[in-house]
Amino acid sequence: MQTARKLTHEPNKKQVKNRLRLITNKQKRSISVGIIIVIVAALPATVMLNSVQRTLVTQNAIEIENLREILQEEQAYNQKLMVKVARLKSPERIQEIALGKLGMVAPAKVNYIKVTNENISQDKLAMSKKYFENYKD
Amino acid sequence: MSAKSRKRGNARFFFIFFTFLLGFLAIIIRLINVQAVEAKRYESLAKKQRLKSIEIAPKRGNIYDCRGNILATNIDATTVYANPYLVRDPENTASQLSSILMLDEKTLLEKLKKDSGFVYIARKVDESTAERVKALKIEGIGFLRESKRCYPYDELAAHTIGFAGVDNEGLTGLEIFYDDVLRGIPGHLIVEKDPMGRSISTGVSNLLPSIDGKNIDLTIDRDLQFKAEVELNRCIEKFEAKAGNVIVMRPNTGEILAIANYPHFNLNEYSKADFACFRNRAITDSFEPGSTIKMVIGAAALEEGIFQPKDVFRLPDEIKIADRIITESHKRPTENFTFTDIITQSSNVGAVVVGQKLKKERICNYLSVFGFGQKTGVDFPGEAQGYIPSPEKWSGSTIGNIPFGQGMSATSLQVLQSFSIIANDGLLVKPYLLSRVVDLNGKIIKQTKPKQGEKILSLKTAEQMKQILEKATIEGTGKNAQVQGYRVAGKTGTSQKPRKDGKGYEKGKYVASFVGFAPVGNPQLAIIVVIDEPKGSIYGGSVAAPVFKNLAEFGLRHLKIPPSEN
Repeated sequence: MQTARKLTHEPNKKQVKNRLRLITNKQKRSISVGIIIVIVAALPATVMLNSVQRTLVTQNAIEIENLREILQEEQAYNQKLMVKVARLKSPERIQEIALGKLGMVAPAKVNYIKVTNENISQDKLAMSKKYFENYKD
Repeated sequence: MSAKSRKRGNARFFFIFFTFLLGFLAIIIRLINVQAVEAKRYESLAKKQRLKSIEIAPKRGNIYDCRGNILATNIDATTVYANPYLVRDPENTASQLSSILMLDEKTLLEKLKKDSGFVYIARKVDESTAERVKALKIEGIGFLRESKRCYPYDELAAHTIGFAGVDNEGLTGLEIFYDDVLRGIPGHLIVEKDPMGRSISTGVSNLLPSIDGKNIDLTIDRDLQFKAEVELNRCIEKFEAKAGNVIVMRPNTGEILAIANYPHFNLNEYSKADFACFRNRAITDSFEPGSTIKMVIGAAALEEGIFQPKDVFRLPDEIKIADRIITESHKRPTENFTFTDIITQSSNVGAVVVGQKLKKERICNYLSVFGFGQKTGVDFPGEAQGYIPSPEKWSGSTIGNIPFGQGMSATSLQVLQSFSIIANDGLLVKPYLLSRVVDLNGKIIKQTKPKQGEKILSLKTAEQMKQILEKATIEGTGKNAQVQGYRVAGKTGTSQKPRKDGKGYEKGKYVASFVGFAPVGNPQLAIIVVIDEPKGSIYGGSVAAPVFKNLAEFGLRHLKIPPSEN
């Protein structure tokens, strides 16, 4: 029974063909219009995006260049400071200040104290050992 | 339309058609030629027009002493250049720049009129000068940042370090010897440029980074070097000498701790110095070593078992050898000398007698194994090898001068190396200046390890010679070399200067020297002092030995070497 009812509501082949043709044409048109709209909208958007990107890249490149320059300047300054430190530590300069400005004199005689286990307590020996272990120029 | 006019119309049509066809064909052929056949040539031409390759100079490596003190480094300097195409008024520009840069106006004008887009005006000028030029705001004048070699201690170890030129290439000393290590490898930056020659930041960019030079650590000790220079200068001034040099070395390893030379120069202003000042005379110049050679003759006689230290000789104060009469430096009566005395009292006649027993072949052989007549192999450019005549070249009188250091030549370094053999219990060590090569990350790439020296003398002979040389500083000619609290060994030398034409010796011109080491029990320092043409006093014992004393005193304390037990 059900099958029979279905069959009675079913359109014939010609009707189906016409309806399909109608839907297809409509869709085609709207798709075309849609594509055109998208293209029209996308083109300036892409161009805009591209120019924004390029601007950003250029800005970043300039910033990197500036940073590189600052880094170079800082490195150069650091190097200059290193040279200045070396000059200030120069034995010639230190001797000049010591003898000329501070009125110091070179020792006429250097006395050495012989430290042996017999004339020093074990505590003091351990202390002096520790001192010399940690001593750095 | 008649057939005739139709025919003419057709002909016109075909003519125009074929003309266009030919035109198109020509264009197509040209296109094929440009885009296919000669594509590469045009591509390279286009690249040349658009792309610019900039050389990125590497940073030259630093030079440090053995304690990490910086001896040579780089600082930024400004280079002034010009683009002559953009300079509007070359005459006025040349006039303005010449007064600031201290350059010849005419030369400058020639540069500014050159048919070129780039000319150097002044390389690596100081900051204040560059600022003055910048303030002029002259169109077509540009500035480049470049790296300039800088030596913080100016004159310190100048002869050893050497200097680098304006393009950061080593020119003298260790700067040239280790140039391949210090220099680094240049890089290249390829950038796209606009018609004005400016770089396009978003254009083609290809970077091949430069590789900076490696740092080197030397065996030189800044403080010892300074002391050596101070003492040498003081001696030169006191005796109004012409020149001089000092070397301080560790005798057991060959590490050179200091090399001082006079005349000296400022490394930062080397262009103002005389070319002769650049010579590291201690290594590149040889001299007749004089009596210091008696040590070698003595050691050879002991090693060969010909004499013993206590053997006695009856010696007059002169001896005739062939056509020559050899005399002592001071007149004296005929006296008894022990073998030890011959060296400690520096007897020329005694040395000749010992030499006669040794014979020329053995003398030459021992001089050779002690390192004379050949380079020590120190890592320094231009080392002299000195000269010892081969036995076949000896004349009848040669045996009368070689045993006390005449008729042969040696460098200060060779003499010091030979004394180090005694200090080092008979072992020969090779002197060196480079301690290690370090990359920018602090990784050690190369480290010089002292090589186990070649055995030259037996331990017994070395010990005997140590005692004899110690005696020379206690009761011999080298008394002025004594260092309080330390046992010192050494030998004086006073030699006449040979004439430049090779015929005899210069009258009144001497070289005074002293070579020694300390402490005798465990030698840690070997020092040679050579003073050229001292005035007033001429003897090694009075001129050079005090320099040794002051330097050894400082050096032993500086290296924390405890005083000798007795």
